Amino acid sequence: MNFLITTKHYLKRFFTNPLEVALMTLLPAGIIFINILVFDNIANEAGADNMYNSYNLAATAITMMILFMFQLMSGVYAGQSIFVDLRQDRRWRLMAAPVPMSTYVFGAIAASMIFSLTTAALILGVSFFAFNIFLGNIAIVVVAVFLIALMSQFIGIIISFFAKSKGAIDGIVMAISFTMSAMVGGFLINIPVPQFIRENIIPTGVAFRAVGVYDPINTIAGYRMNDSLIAIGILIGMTFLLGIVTLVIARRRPF
Amino acid sequence: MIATMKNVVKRYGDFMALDHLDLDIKEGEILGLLGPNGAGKTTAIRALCGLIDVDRGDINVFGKRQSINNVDIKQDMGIVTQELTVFSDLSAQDNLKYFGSLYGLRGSQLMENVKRVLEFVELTEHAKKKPDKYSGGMKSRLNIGCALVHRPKLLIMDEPTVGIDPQSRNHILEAVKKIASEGTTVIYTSHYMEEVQAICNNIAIMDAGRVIAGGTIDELVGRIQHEDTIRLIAAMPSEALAEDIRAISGVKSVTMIGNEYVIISTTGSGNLNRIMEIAMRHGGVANISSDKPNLEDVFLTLTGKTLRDEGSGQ
Ligand SMILES: Nc1ncnc2c1ncn2[C@@H]1O[C@H](COP(=O)(O)OP(=O)(O)O)[C@@H](O)[C@H]1O
Ligand SMILES: [Mg+2]
Repeated sequence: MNFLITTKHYLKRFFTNPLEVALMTLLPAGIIFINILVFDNIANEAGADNMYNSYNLAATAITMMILFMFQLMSGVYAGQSIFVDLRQDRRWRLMAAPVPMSTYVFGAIAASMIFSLTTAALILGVSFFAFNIFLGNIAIVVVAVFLIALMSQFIGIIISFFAKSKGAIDGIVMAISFTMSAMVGGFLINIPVPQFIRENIIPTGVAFRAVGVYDPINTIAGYRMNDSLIAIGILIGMTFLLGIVTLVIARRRPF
Repeated sequence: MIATMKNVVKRYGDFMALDHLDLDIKEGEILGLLGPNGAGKTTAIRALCGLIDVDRGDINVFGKRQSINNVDIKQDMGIVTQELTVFSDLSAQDNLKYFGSLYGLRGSQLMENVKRVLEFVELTEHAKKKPDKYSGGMKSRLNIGCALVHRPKLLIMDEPTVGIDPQSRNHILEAVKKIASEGTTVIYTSHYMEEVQAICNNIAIMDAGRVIAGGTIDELVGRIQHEDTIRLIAAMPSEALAEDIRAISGVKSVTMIGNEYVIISTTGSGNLNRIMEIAMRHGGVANISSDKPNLEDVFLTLTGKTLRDEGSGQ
């Protein structure tokens, strides 16, 4: 019961901050649409055909890339909430209530997840209907998005235990997300990494492997299900590990 | 006793923030915890509320042992933090609702309590506004209100009047008396001697992490000083009047300062009345007053320090 109360509370506070909401919804949507329009134009002028089986492959790649990059940032909110509530003066009041600390942490994670997944659904839905992207096995996409978002929550929470300021959490989480995006098939810049690392170690890269961005034609043909499942397995392992690390640090550091 | 702290030690590195602190809180009283900045008042309160672990000692509240994880005890305690700890992005009403719900209040019971608290701290008209639109006094009142929604049996207030205008301050002091009169036990922390003197039944004086003296104001003052200062302005001052006052037993000295006789006399000797009678016979009294030594003097005598450090600017 208390968990539902803290979750609702964090959701409410999140929506009282319109800038934050805009940043997490309009920004990725805007970037995706501009990218797709620009790419479609370039492809058209070059006479290239980027459609396959009536799916727009470039739009698919762009949507997934931006989507996962932003999902990997979504932990900023959970991290900031925990920072202002449990690392600053307010913790004295919240700890005085008959509620364990974990109830606040789980509430912040749940609220941040709800928001993150809603954004993902909106972006995927609009991209699907407006640009004919290939969603593949929808269950795989949903699970991949869920796991990347959850990993981001853990990263946000871990950083909130150590950060010196609320703003630092923003900076660190965004830097992680940008760097990973650049390493797995870039947004603006490209950091070259060996394929093995890209597809097995970097979370967004593993997510791309799961949803089939690296090999769209075989994915559309349905030949890659096993590989997708292996990728999902890796993501589950990573999320689990991050969850454990979060727990261990939380226990050692009773704020 | 509603709560006791025995031999409590809290270290930060080599520094002892609480140095074998003993404190008893009686049911129904307003206990004033008085001490200068850095005395360890906030640390003591945090330990009592189960917000920090201590290195040594026993803390009991409502007959149960306090600890960080003791949810049972916390249900009936309320803390008004020294710092403003409300949510600035939520309205006053939403703040109160959230804190009430953390204590298990739901539905109509919650709404009723929120409404009552809003009235009590006089924020009903501003209930829908966010605290960043509030004045300092209003913010403090909300900060207090948030600790009252769940009707705690033991309310702990940590310097609730610091940085507040005198009018809001009186407001808060009145409120504390009202809360106590409804049966809530209150611990009131302050480094303002006048506040503690005005509202507290019992006082514990803290310095350097321990309670150095405790009791009622009269007990504390009586313990260190046995003299009153009586100031008399006579209608017709004369040397004969001074001589007659000097002859009263218990009067230690009579000094003329300007048009005022300053008389030092043993406390509790009833000399104020005798001096008045004599002065009436010598032509009348324009003004007479008797100063008790105050807590400030007690603190000064015990520690050789003043309560208020000059540098703090408060
Ligand atoms: N977390 C902490 N780390 C180190 N020192 C602390 C900490 N909290 C309090 N202190 C020190 O303990 C002493 C008592 O502080 P405090 O309880 O806040 O005093 P008061 O509330 O009476 O002003 C101060 O000297 C303060 O610097
Ligand atoms: Mg203090």
